[in-house]
Amino acid sequence: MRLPRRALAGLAAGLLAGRPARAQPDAVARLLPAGRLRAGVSFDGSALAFEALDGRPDGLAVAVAELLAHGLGVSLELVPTQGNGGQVQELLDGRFDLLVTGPAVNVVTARAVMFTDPFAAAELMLVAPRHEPVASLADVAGLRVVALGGPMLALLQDRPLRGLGAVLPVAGPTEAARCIRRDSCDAALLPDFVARQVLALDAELEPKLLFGPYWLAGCLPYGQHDLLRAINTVLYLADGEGILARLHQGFLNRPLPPRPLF
Amino acid sequence: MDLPRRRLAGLLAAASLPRLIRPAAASPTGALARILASGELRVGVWLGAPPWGMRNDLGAPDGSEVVLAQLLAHDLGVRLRLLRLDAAGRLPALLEDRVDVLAAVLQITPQTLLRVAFAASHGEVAAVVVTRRGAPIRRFADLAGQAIALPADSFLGESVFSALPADSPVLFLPEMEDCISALLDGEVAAVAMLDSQLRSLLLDRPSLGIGEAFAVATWHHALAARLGEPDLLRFLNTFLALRWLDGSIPDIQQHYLGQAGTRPLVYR
Repeated sequence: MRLPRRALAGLAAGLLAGRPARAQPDAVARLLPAGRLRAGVSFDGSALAFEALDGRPDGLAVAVAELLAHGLGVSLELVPTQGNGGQVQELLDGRFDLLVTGPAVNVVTARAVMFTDPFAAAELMLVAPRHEPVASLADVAGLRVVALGGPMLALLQDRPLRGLGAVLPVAGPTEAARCIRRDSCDAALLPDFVARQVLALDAELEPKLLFGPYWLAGCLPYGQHDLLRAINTVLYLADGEGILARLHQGFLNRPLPPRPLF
Repeated sequence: MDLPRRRLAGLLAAASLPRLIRPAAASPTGALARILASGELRVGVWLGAPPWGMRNDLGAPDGSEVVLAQLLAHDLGVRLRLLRLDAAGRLPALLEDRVDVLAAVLQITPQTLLRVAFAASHGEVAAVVVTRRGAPIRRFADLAGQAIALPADSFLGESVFSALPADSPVLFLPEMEDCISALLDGEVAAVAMLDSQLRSLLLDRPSLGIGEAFAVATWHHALAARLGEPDLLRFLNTFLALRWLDGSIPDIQQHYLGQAGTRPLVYR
């Protein structure tokens, strides 16, 4: 299912009507003294967070932030992150309470922040020119592969990706596409929802391999265990009501696999 | 790749997350903070519990819990310091802050549950009664006055002893090998073992002519931290979930236990 953006915004708004019961006000005050949930969002134009045609923020991560704020009984403040891969540091610096567009769940980032339970699953897509004969991981040996820099590179420690060898970072999907076009590299490893943007811009590129799923979750500073539990409870209830599945299908165009809880 | 070298250096530096994160008020606290700051993870292991903890042919620590501890240290980005413990020394070592984590097949029981914080359980241990093949014994009542050998000073021995009928003759022996010998020599009609011990024994010596008669009890076991360490516990559970999903933990279990267990249980 690929819904138009306006319809998706309506879907998200409609879904909020059936949210789980709100938290007690005194508990909210203790967990979120500002009285609102400040969610850090990187508006990178992907299906996770983008600006709709009418200028409103939209995307899966935005919808999840709205869902969480509603479930916690507080208003939502979306705080645009400053980019450059420093979102986690911005969270630790206290610019916002929760990061909803952070790196996929991985152990390296988990040394610095706590992940909530996942709300979405992404895949990593290896994108290369059509003429490049890549049918398996073994074919990648010797290729010059780039990936988005920053925390995403932590995923390369994941077992299925270790066979890739040296992967060099680039700043964004545009640079990755430009790198391939100029023959400075042979392939790019990108989150599937980002890779689709690149594929739409360059007909010479095609998807070669998929890795994953990699789980997308919120990030919280260590120590915020009560807030973590409250957020996980809202996510759990939303999952049980089918809301996460509908958002996932709507924004990422595929079903939400059974979520691992931790 | 023809990106300028200076540019590449900058990108690679930015890609190194631990260096990217500046110290902040929201940093981990407690044991997790100490582990990350000191660069060392202290893990208590029990090397007298094959296949979970043992020594390999070269005398080095080995076993599924040892390998799990190595993987944990790797994922924390710190070096590993193993502290060898016996069964009775596991809880004191953790409670006295001589280790940060126990990877010592510590069973989740009423005795341990209120003293330590268990991570998501990543395995099960079953105590089984083993007899000679063909022996008509399917429950404790079938032993009818015949003796059972139990390993002395062990969780297994104590657990099975507490489940035995009051008048059962019991022979406590120092080592599991002594118990097996007693069974093979006809001194006892049965012996209590852990299911994985029996599995490895029969893989090594299939012609022994013994087999499982019935199971006594099953326990979950898990990594354990001190109570009041929620940051470390959260990291442990994230680690267990990710390493289960990428196949690392199932592979460890397959290698040492002969079969992959079930996904780590999450307590809610």
